Amino acid sequence: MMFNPGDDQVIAEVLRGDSDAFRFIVEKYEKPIFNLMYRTTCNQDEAADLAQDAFLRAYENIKKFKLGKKFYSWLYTIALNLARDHMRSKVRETKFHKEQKKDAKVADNTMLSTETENYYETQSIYQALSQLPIDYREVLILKYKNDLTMEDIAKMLDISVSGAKMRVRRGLDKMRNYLEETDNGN
Amino acid sequence: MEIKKNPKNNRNDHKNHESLKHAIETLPELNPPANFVHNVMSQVHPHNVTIFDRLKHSYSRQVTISFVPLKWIPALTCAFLLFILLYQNPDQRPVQPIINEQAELSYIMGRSELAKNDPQKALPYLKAAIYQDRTQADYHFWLGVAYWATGNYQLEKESYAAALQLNPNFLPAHVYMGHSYMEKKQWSDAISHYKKVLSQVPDHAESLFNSGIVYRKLGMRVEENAAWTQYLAHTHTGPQSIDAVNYLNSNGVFSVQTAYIGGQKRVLKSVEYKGNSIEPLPESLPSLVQAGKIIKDKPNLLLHIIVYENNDKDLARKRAQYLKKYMLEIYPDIETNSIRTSWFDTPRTMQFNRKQYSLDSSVQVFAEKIVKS
Repeated sequence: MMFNPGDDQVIAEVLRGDSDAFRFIVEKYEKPIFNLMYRTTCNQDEAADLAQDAFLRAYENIKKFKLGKKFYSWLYTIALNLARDHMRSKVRETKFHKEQKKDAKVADNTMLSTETENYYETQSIYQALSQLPIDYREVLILKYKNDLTMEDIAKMLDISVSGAKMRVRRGLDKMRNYLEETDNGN
Repeated sequence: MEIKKNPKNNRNDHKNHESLKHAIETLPELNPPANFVHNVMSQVHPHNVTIFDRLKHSYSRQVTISFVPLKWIPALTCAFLLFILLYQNPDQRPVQPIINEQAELSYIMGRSELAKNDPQKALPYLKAAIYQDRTQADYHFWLGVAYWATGNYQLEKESYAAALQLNPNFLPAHVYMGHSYMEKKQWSDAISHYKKVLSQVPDHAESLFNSGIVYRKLGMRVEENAAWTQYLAHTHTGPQSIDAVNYLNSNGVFSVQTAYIGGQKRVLKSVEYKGNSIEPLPESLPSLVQAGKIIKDKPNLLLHIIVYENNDKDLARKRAQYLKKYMLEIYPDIETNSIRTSWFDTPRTMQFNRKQYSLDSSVQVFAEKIVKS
């Protein structure tokens, strides 16, 4: 029998003043939040810093969280906003820097497991995801990787359910186009 | 990735999307850095919670009550018997520790996974146990051990610290905290934990040995020698005891020495004398008894006793003869020619770490196989 404390229970503990209970939240969600940031930055150090900021922001604002709602959605929204802010700040940087970042993307992606059966396929999927606008990319991750419902995704992104469905569809189209272009390029 | 585009063919589009969905589902994820949780938690500071908030959240807390009749029958029987017992002896009411059964179960599962050498599986159980009952130092300690086994050294230390916060005298946590600091070469921190252990259990072998190492690293020779001596007073066998003797000898202390007897390097207390006495000090005798027993059990061995006495050959000879006589008296089964004595009026020289030591008075003992011609 495995006991898994519910998010509401843990947050109630935090709200009662037990800050250490927040550790359960960090341990539970560190991986998806870190990966969200990694997909945004393509740099492990930056991803770790941003993910850390996301958890700290969640902790600071935890009183605003309504018990009974899905905590993961709330946390992901915070992380997503941080990721968007980060992207905006990056846009202001010089073209030279952008080129550097492009190179870094390729280099850093090699950190993905080389043990997977289709290593090159995995890399190309990762590349295709990385080049998507953040809202399309994360909708795909939330839907297919995190297995969230369209209703949850819609609430999280503050859009309608049909809008969420459309983003999923368009995201897949964009990915397919990118993969096709890179295939033709090769 | 082979994905063919045909805008006029929706079925093909759908097929392409399905393969993309599958690719996203199975996309590998990176693990965050090992110290990620620590870094976040080190910046999390307790909120100022008002009494109103505290009460509000306490009373709005979700409570689950489960009732399993079969589980309660033995408990009710025990309670009834206990009631009868207490009714008869009201002054002898035992104080029972409160055990959180769910936490204990998670803890046992975690320990069991650790015993199966699967610390990765043990981690969630031990974390769950702590969540269910944070008051048990054992739970934190074993979580620390699981973190150590998975290479998460920062969280390992934090877990031991949590155990020690709950119970400052929880010795296993002190021992492992000491080991953890030692691995990081934080000698002073390590020694403070070993000291705590030794203040409660003066013959704790691991703490004594590691204290010796730490003092050596810190260049504290007196404390180092005391640690080795204390360690060897309780432990005479195993490779660490040989190391302890070598460390002690390399510091110029020869109250113990190693000797090859019966194909093994053994630790023997040095044979020592008071003044010009021929009889050794009583505390030296157990070493002779130990060596004699091995020779008795392995008759194919020849025991050599070599006595050095600088500038006094006669005293050296008398001492050697006395030692042989003494051993033959204790073990009459040993043949006379199984013990060979030699004596020298020169000092015995020994070398450790390129440093040469000269002992004016010393007894060397070793054994070799008898070669039959």
